[in-house]
Amino acid sequence: MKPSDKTGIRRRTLLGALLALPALAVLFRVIRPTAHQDLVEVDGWILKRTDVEGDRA
Amino acid sequence: MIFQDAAQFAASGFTPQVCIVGAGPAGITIANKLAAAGIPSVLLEGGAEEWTEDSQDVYRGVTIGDPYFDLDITRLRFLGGCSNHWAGWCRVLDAHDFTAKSYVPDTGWPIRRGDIEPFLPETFDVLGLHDFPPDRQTTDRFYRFEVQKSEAVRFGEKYREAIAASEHIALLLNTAAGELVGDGTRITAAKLISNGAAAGEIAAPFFVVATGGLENSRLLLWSNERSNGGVVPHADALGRYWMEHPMYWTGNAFLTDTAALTPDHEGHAFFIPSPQAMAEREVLNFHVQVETMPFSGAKRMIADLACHAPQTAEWVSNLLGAKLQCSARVHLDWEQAPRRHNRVALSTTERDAYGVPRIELHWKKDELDRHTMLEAMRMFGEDLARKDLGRVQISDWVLNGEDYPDDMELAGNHHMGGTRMGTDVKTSVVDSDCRVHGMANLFVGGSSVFTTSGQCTPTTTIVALALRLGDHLAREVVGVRTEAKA
Ligand SMILES: Cc1cc2nc3c(=O)[nH]c(=O)nc-3n(C[C@H](O)[C@H](O)[C@H](O)COP(=O)(O)OP(=O)(O)OC[C@H]3O[C@@H](n4cnc5c(N)ncnc54)[C@H](O)[C@@H]3O)c2cc1C
Repeated sequence: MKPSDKTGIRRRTLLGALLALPALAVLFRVIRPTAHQDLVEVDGWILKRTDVEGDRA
Repeated sequence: MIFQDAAQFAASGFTPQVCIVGAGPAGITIANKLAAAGIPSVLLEGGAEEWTEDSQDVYRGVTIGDPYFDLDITRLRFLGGCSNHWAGWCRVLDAHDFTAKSYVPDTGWPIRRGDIEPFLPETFDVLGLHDFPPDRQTTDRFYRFEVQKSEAVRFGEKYREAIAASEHIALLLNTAAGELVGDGTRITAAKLISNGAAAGEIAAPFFVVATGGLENSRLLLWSNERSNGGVVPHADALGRYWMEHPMYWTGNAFLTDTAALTPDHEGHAFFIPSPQAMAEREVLNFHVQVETMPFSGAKRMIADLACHAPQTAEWVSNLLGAKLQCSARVHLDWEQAPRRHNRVALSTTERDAYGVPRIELHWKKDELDRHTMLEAMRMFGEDLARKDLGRVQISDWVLNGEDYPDDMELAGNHHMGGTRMGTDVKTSVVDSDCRVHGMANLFVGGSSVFTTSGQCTPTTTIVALALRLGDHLAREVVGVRTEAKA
């Protein structure tokens, strides 16, 4: 993967992850985007975005 | 035949075609292979039949760089070598372990897995293994594989009687090769130390050094120094590119689909990445060992997960209620890049009781170790989550690049490299036949010839390579004999 692509994905994913998380959690947690749109890394947990959005059916 | 010292052996009149230095798994396997072809060999063993303090003391040394096991603890110097304390976990290097990785310099063997495959059935007989089932794809990037936890063959015990009865193998106990003597094209003799004293020389048409993954480098470095470069004429890489398998507990996991991840009888399940997955993240090979843990550990993890993902935590805890075994610790073992600066050197200050310089092991993990460890955990976590097989939590110290913990195992006791196999004399010591570059009659057995380490335990591959070397030598000996007759 070229560096520019990586940065692009990173920004998009990070934005997605930030929007997905409850505001309070954002203040206290270390959130990292992953290589996949549907996943985030929160304090070392590799979670689905749906896990943190709270819409697990 | 078994002799207790060099004098007893000299009196026997036994004439070996091959002199093998070291009676561990590699040396004994080579001797057996030669004996099966009717070729007489002498097997020099520095230690006795049992552990002794004096013999073990020869293995003392220091490590400079990262913390490592004491060098006289991580190996054993008596008949059977380190097989006297190995765990018996078995697996052969994978086909892709032999090929070069474009993103890591100095990788790629001059042989392929296909070159050792003909020797695998015999290897499995020696080690008491069954055929390995094919790896099972579990997620897009990970395969479940089998580590055979074998009975841990003690080579000394297993083969002692057969060697005693053999007319083709002369096992010479309490007798070390203090140094090999060479003229830059051939080894002419090995100088012996028997029962603690100099005991003359032994000559043979062929020599094999099989003294273990640290000692092979030491013996050759010392011999080369004494023979002014006459033992390893191309010595640029001698002692260098030494490797281990670092291993640590790197995280925890909830396994929400235990059917897909069923552990073995010891509660372990093993996973390896596909070659594509490794290339995608530019990591070296590794394996993830998932070990089920007691329910008490799970409670803490659920509490932590609940801070980030309350509903997922609830979902997990409901599942846990049904299956008490589905929380796990995650252990990672990985391949190290072959680095020139990781090396076995001779101490300039410390010598053993026989005047041979002790080992100074220079060994340090680097950025690629960190990268492999962290990305391995990420990839595994991502794949488990995507397939809803579970969730992984990476340990803080891994995530934050903190110091490696000093209360964990740290590495596998797998001593690899130092006399690695290759075609370039600048980066390797032996060729694809395990023959020292430039030397007509000197060969090396054991994991010091590994070009790269892969992720798996080494002894199964060591035995396969030893059988291959025995087979090769048998043909060479017969060739030389035929030439001599003509
Ligand atoms: C605690 C532990 C657990 C392990 N577990 C596993 C495992 O589960 N799976 C796995 O695959 N591997 C494992 N290993 C590694 C395994 O033991 C080695 O890969 C294997 O024993 C190497 O065989 P070798 O014949 O090359 O060397 P060694 O076993 O070291 O044998 C070398 C022999 O040479 C002799 N010698 C040394 N110097 C001289 C000299 N100058 N002259 C004459 N003789 C000499 C020694 O006394 C010894 O008998 C483990 C190792 C340890 C320490």
